[in-house]
Amino acid sequence: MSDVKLDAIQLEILWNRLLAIVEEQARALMHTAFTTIVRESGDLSAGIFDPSGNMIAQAVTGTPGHINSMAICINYFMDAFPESELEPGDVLITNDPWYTSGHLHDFTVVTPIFKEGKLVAYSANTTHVLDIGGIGFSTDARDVYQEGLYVPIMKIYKAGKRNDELFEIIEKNVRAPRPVLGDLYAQFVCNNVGGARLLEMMGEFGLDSIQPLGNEIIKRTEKAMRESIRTIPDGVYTQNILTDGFDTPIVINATVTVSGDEITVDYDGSSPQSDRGINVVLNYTKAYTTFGLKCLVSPDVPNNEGSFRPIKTTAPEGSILNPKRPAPVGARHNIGHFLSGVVIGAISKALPEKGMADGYDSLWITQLSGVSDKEEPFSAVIFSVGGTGALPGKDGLSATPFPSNVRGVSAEVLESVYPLFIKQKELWPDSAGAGCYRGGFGHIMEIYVNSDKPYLLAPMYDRTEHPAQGIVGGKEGSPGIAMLHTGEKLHPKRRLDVEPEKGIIIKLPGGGGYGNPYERDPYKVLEDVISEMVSIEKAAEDYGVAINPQTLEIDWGKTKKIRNG
Amino acid sequence: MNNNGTYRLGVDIGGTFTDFVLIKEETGENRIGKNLTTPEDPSEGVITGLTNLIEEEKIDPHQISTIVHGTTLVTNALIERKGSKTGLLTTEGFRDTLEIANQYRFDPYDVYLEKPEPLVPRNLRFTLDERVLADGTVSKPLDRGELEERVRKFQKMGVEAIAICFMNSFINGVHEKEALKIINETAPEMYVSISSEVIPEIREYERTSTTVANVFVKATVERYLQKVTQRLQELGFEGNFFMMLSNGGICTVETACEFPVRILESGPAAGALAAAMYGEKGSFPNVLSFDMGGTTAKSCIIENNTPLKVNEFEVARVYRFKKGSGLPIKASVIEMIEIGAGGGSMAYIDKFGLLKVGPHSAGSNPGPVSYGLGGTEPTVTDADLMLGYLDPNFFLGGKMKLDKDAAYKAMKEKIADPLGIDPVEAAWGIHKVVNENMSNAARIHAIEYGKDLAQFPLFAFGGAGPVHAYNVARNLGVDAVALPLGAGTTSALGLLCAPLAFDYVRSYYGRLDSIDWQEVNRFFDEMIKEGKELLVKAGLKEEDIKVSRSCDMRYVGQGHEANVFLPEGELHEGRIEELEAVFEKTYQELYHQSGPDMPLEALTWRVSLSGPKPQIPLESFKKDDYEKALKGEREVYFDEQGGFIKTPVYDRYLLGFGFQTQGPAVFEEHESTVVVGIEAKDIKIDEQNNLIVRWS
Repeated sequence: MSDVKLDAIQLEILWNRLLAIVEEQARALMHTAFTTIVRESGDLSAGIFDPSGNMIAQAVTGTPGHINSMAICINYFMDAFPESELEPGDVLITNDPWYTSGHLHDFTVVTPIFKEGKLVAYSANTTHVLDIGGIGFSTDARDVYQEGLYVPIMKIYKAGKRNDELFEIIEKNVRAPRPVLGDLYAQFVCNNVGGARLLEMMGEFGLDSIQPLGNEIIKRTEKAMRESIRTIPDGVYTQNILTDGFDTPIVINATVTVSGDEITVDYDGSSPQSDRGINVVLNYTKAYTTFGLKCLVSPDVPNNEGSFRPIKTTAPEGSILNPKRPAPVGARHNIGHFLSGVVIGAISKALPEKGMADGYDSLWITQLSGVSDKEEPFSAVIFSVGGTGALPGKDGLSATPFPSNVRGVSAEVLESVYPLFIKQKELWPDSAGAGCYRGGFGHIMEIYVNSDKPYLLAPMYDRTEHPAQGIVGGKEGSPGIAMLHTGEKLHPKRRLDVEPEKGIIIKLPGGGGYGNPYERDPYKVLEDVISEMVSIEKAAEDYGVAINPQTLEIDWGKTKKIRNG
Repeated sequence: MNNNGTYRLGVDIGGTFTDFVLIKEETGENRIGKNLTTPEDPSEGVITGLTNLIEEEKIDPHQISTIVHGTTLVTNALIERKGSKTGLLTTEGFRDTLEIANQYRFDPYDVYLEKPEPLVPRNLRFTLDERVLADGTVSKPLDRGELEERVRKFQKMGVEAIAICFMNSFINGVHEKEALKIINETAPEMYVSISSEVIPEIREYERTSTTVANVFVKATVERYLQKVTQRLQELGFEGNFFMMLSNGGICTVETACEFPVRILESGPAAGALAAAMYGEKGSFPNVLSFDMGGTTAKSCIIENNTPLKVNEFEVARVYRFKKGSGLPIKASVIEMIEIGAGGGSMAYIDKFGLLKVGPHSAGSNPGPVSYGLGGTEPTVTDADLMLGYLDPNFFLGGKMKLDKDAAYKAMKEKIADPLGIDPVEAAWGIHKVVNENMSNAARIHAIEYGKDLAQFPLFAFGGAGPVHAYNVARNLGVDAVALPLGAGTTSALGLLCAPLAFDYVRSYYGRLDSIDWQEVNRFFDEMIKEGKELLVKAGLKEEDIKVSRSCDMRYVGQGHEANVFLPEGELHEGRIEELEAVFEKTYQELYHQSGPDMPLEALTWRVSLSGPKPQIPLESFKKDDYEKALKGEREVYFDEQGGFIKTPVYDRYLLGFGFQTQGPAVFEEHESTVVVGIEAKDIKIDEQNNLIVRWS
């Protein structure tokens, strides 16, 4: 970059421009993609890499699953196709779960960017496609081969010429070829937008290389990240939780070591890999781990190579958090989503004044398929979220996603597009963990299928046995419930044929509370009672606040008595 | 101006000022007025300002044929939560739609984020055991007894307004209409809005949110408008009184009272309309309006003389510049981006050692350091002053002296010394960074609509817009900038460019290859008939009403709809290919690629009816002697020149059609200053009195 000097102003402008470029890249993808998850929840990512493969900017998108995985994947691409084997017009692709974001449904596309014949950068994106063949999006597979088509790192365009054979292989292996291929095109467009903008920027500022810019960005980010870490007292903090697993509970054990300006997270002691598709590849383990740490420690530090360097994440090979091929990994989110809460839990022990209680953590996915009463086949996917954990000074949020950020779909849209009848979608009273600051409330959904034939339910639920824990004296939230409307309890993960007249009721877990519930402002308790979110009984039992059922006023005498024991 | 003839008056109530613009219909001569907004009783400020203006011009109230009014009143009522105590009636099982919302976190990293508080708390949200299914059939009838019991409970709780939003009422509003009738009979004092009238569109959260907001402010708006119209009558005003709509049309007082959510964004809409009007007259069919004031910068894409419109926006954001943190409102609105970049935006050094500008603003009090009112943080205005873009002795036409030394000192201490650079370099840095922030926002905005900004000359106004336009244009790679005369009050003029208009929507889902076209034609005819009646009642001739129909369509399974204009005439199966072709064309424009070979589905059908655009003849004045306009010279900073150069300064008011020069040059008005650098080879004033700056 010859004579351009990188002072505070120039760097601000170039860095900002890079962030705008990746944002444009992501928007371009979101607007042209077909898969609902991509558009509505932003289950995608876009990034720019310098020529040595360091990620220097990444768009802020919906789900954390791409945070580290995007930065790491480039190394595999560069190993497979070193610079000498790349030329303008090449586009690389893979959906290798171990190299990228953990399951075959995610395609990563990398485009090398050339300026006057010289490779100056890579632009990349990852997105979730509608179908990848095999058993479908599920926890049920026994190995990754059952989960669908595997595309190793390949050129899908070579010098601008389409790789027709690969297109045909994909087309013939997926259930919904049009939207899947449509999404792939969207991915190519996305990278081209990024590449074109980057070249414009280089032209405008007279840059021959973005390497010095990349170095400066990484250096400053790493420094800020290290400064944030230094605010956490040195020590070894552990957290050990249980999740439902498939049939037997899964242990997640984290040892978080803070030493000066570095953090090491080791998952030794976690369960061995499962024979069901809930295994989490190390890339994805790293993503949710980093996300959790960043939320608590440095939410304002952007994601790039520099922010990852001070954090080291390890898990024993062959464990649920670092499975060996060919382990099934399709529903890796199920366990992966817990990791942010786990590291937050560990750090909360070091910094209780900044701590956060557990939330529902793992996204609930309800898949329903069958044939409607109009004899039309359907397949519907519904995302649901529970309550988040409380923080010092702040109640948890009700029916709000964390850590993954997936937008819900309107009940009316579900009813108009699928043969479904949504009888209820409402907050779940008394589900929040009590505390000086309470957890968020979960919510209830009751769903029926308009059909006279049995339909298939493929659930991906968790925290039905192991509720969100409170911290600093806060209480646990309600565990989730999945049942038929007749009251029969459902297995949280096993697929099931359901009689057409039977509906499904899901109650999403509440978040854990923070601090002693007896210290909660009685007026806040009263507010929840007036809202009918906390019952009068629970107000007395959990919070020690007596409320007169007739007048809905606080009985201060009684309250004092309960609270003082 | 000569005081015979008829006049039109625009009145725009903003947060601080109420602006007036008076136009003589015959000649287009205009006069501007301004006075402080009176928040306790906004009609006070309106009447005072109006009286002053017409007294100055020596005209009589009955000479005013039309008044068009825009106001931030409704927006403020929502931001401050000052509305009626409102209850919500909804379908059993859906009590918490307002709270569950889209179950989305608008900032993924902020664990402390606050979601917007619903306008109706849970204890005022009641459900009824009724149900309409997705296909419009009634599966459970409305129970009158249950409804009456709920309403009595509302009365006891002191509820003054009721929103009704039942499931699937967008396709069949029978229960809502029934409930409305019953409430009108049994509790006539209640303000009621039903979602199937406010916005019959699919998606229960957005529809409920819109209906609730509508009824929440209904009483406030009604009371205010009654008062204003009454006082105008008392003054002797006998003409038409219209309200500005968020989408750039105007409507009658009755419509505004019934659907106050449609007038929410009337102020910014007026600015965009003014830009479109000047663009049209100046032969710039495509422009990017760029309105930079004290705290924010707003931009709007205008194509073919028409501002870009969308059908959803947000009000009362918890975090002003964070999308998703507000209450969603479904209504037709001119699409704007707004970012925290204005004259008052403060500069600071962040934890990465970088120079940042905004979004926090010093506002007008204490304001920038150079105001001398106690501001301590360097702002964009301070930087512009140090760079010679502003004249310390001619700010607001000389009404306010700016303290350049104080600005210099603060710049040195707060920015330059910590960064180890020269204070002027720091000032230039601030100017550059804020321009870059605005350009980046505009670029990201443009890509969402598939537009290439290089094709959109800037139309710059607002207090700070003209100061920054030249460098923003360079940034965006645009080769022309247009700047109207009176850039500080352009918005108010826009009020007088708006046609009478009304929009209808209907949600009706179906794949194009299997939809019931008879039904589609039926509701289109119904909407058009109703709309025409309304506009004729408002004074339009039926033959002057323009009707355009559009539909939100998408490829089956795709979640993002594109709004597509429909060809005229009856729709039927035989025209599917034609519709597909129109969709494909729109899709191409948006995404620069053709879509996949998939069938289409339609979700929402829209009709917009409008009258003719009122014409404003802009007075053109040609002067022979531009020598007098040259006020002198001053040192102005241009990076392309490597520093300060002597630059001629013109009095903008003394220039007219035929004037021509080249950069560098500075043009001063009372409320704004145009700064043009050396790359501008061609600067002239056109027949509409716009200053046109071109690069070649």
